[in-house]
Amino acid sequence: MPPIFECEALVKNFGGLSAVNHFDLRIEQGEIVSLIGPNGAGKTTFFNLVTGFYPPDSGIIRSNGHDLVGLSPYQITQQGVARTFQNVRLFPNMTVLENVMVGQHSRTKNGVLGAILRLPSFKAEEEAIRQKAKEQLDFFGTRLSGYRLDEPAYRLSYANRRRLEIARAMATEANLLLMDEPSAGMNPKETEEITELIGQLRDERGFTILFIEHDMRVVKGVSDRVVAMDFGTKIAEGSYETVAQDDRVIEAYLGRTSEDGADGR
Amino acid sequence: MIHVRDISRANKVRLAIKVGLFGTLALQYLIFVGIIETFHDRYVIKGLITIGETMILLIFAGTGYLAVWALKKALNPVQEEHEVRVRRSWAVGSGALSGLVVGASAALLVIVNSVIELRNVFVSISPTLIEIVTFGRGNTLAGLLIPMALSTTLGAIGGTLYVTRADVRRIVVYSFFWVTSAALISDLLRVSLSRPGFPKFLSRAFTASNGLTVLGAVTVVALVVAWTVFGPTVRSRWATRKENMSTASQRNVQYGQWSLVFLLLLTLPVIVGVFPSEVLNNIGLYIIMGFGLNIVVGMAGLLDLGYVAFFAVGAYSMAVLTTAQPEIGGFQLTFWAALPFVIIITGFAGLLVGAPVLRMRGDYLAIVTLGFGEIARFLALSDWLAPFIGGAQGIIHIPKVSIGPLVLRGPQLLYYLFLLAGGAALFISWRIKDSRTGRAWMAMREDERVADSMGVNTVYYKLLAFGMGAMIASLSGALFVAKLGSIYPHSFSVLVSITALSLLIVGGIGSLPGVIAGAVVLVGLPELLREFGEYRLLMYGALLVTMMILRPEGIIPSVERARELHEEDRAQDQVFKLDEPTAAPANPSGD
Repeated sequence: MPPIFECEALVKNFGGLSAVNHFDLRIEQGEIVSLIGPNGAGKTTFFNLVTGFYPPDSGIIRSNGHDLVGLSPYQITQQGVARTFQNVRLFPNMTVLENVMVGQHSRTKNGVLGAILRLPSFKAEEEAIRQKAKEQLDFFGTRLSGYRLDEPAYRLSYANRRRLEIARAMATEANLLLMDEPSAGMNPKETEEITELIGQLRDERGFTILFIEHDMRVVKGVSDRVVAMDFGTKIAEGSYETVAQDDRVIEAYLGRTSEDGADGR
Repeated sequence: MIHVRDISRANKVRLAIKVGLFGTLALQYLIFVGIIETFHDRYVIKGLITIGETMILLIFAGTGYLAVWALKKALNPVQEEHEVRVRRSWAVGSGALSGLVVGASAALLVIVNSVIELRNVFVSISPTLIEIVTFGRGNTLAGLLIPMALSTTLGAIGGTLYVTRADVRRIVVYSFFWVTSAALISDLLRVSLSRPGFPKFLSRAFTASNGLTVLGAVTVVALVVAWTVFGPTVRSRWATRKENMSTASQRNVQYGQWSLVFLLLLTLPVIVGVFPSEVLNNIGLYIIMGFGLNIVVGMAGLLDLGYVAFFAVGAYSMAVLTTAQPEIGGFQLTFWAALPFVIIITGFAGLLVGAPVLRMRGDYLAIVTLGFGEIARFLALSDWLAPFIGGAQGIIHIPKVSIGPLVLRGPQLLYYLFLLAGGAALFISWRIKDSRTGRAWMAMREDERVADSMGVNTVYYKLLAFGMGAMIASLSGALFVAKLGSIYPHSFSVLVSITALSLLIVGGIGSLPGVIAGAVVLVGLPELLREFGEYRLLMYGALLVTMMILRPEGIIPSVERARELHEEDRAQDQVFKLDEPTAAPANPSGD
C-alpha cells in the first residue's frame, strides 16, 4: 500500500534563492510528524508546494499513490490534503458555521439548478453539510458552538480563529492535515490545549498530521517523528530526542542568526 | 454620567465660523452651478415658497445643526462612552453664528454683483438669482439684511434642533423631508389623483399646478406628526399582539402581508397611471441589471465595470432575432421564442468575457472589464458589424411582445413583463445566495486563494458568476428592446454600467432589497424630478460621496456588509486586547 504522503527530490527556487532543495519526506497513515527549522528554512514553501500554491521546479509529490504535482489547490483538497495557514486566513465576514460549510465544498456537488429549484436532493445535502459542519465545530467543545455559530468569523478571539481554521480543514474530510504553526501566538495554556488537540485529531478523527511548529513543547509533546529542515533540505529526522541532540539542528538554531532570509510563507 | 469638558469661548466661535464657511461653500456652490435658479420654477407650497428657496433655507438651518454637532465632537474628542451634553445656550449661539456666516456670504455675493457684473463670467448669477437670494428685495439694504437675519434665525433653530427632544426633532426633520418630497412628486400625485375614479376636488385640494397647496402641506405635516406620536405605540401594540398569536395565525399574518405587497405590485400600474408606469419600467430595467451585477460584484466579488456589455448583447440578440426589418436577421421569431436563445447567447458572452480575466483581481479586473464594455459599444457602432446589427442606424421594426392574442402595448402592460423578469431575477439570486454555490462565491470574495485550497474551483465559479450575471442582464436587455421597439448603439454607454454599480453601492452591496432601493433612488427619482436632468451626474456624485461618509453599507445593507464596515475595527481592537500574542520560544533543546 502506498504511503499517505510521499515526496521525493522536491526542488523550488525563487530566482537565485533555493527555498526547497531536494527534499524528501514520507508519511505513513496515522503518523503525527512535525516539521521544524529556523525561519526561512523553507517549511512554509514546502507546504505551499504540497497544496499546489506554487508548482515545484522538479520532484514528485504523491498522496496515496496519486500524483499531486500540477494539480490546482482545490484538486489537491479533493485528493484528501487540507491545510491551515501560518497567519490565520478565514473568510472573515462569513459566519463561523458558513466557514466550516465551505470546507465541505469538495465533498458535495449540488449546483445552481438544485439551489434555484430546491430539489429534495439539494435540501438533503444542505442539511448534511450543516450537520457535518456542526460536528466539526463540536470537536472544540463549547468554544465554537451555540450562539457563536452565527457570529462572523472576525469576531472570534485569536485562539478561536485558529480553532475555526482547523475545523474548516477538518470539514474537507481530508486524510492528511497540514498545519502551519498551529500554536503561533497562543498563550501557554492554549498551546497545551493545541498539543492535546493534535493528538485527538489523530486518535479520535483518524487524521494523519504534518505540522510546522516552533514551540518545542508542542513538538515534543505530540510528534511521532520530527523532521528538521534548513536551507530547503532535510538536516535531521527521527524521534524528538534524536533530532534535538543532532549537531546540525543545534547549529541551525544557535550557530547563526535566524534573520537571514524571510520565511517563504 | 454627564461629563462636560469645556473649551474656550474663542475656540467655540472659531469652530462655529469654520462650520459656517463650510455651509457657505455648499450654498455658493449650489448658486454658481445654477441649481438654485433651476429649482426656482417649482414650488414646495404653491405661491409661498419655491424649491430653490427651500434649498437656501435648508442650508441655513443645516449649517446651524452641523455647527452644534461639531461642537459636541470638540467637547468629546475621543468619543467616550458617556453622553456629553451641549448646553442649549451654546447650541443657539453656535448655530446662529454659523448661520450668520452663510447669510453674510449671500449678502456679499449681492454686493459684489452690484459692483462687478459677475454674470459676464458666471452665467448662473442672473438677476433672478439675486431676487431669490434676497427673497425678493433685490439689491437694497433690506435685501442684504434679510438673508442674514434669516440665516441667523434658521441657524439658531437648526442648532437648537440638535439639542432638543428627539421626538420634536424627528417631527421637524420628517415633516420637512416629506413635505419637500411630496412637493417634488406633486405633478405625479396630481396626475394620479385626478384620474377617473377619484373625486375631482382631491387633486385640486392637495396639489396645485406646480407644487403642493397649503392644505396639502398641512396634511403631510399632520400625517408625520400622527405617525411620530402614535406610530411607536401602534407598532409595539401590534408586536405584542403578534407575539401572543399562535404560530399558525402568525404565519397567516405574514402571508397576509405578503399577499398585500403582491397585490400592490400587481395593481401598481393601474394605480399610478401611464407616465409613472414608464418610470417603473425603467426602474425595473435597472433592478434586473442590479440583481445580475450583484451576483458578479456583490456575491463573487468580481468588480465588473463593463456590465453594459451583457446588457447590450442581450438587447442586440433579441433585436436581431425578432426584428421585421428585412436587411437584418431574417429570423423574425416572437419574443418568447427568442428569449431562450438570447439568454444562452448572453450567458456565452459572459463566459467569453470571463475567460481572459480569470487571473485578474480588483482594480485590474475593473479596468479590463471597463474596456470590454466600451468594446461592446464600438462593435455595435462599427461598420464591420453593420450588415448584421445595423451599425449607427440601429435596428428598428421590433414587434411588440404578445401573450397569446394580447399584445403588450404601452408601459402599463409592459410593466408586468418587468415584474415577471424582476421577480425571476430576485428569486434566483435569493435562492443561490444561501446555497453551496453562494457560499463558494462568498468564500472567493473573502479570500480567493484560501477558497481554492478549501476545495472551491475558483476558475469554474468565476465563470459561473460571469455567466449567471450575464444571463440576468440579458433579461434586462431583452425587455429594453421590447419596450422601445428599436435599438441604437448609443443606449449602451459606460453610464449604464456606472448606474448599475452605483445603485448597488447606494442600496448596499450584496443586499437584494438594497438593489431595489438603489434602483428606485438612482433611476426612479431622476426620472420624476425633471429638473435634475442636467445635474443627474452631479447628483450621483454627491449622493455617492454622502453615502460613503454617512452610510457606507448602503440604504438596506446586507448583514455581512454592515458587520464588516461598522464592527470590524472594534472587534479587531478587542482581539488585540484579549489575546496579546505570546512569543513562542524557538529553542530546540529546551523544555
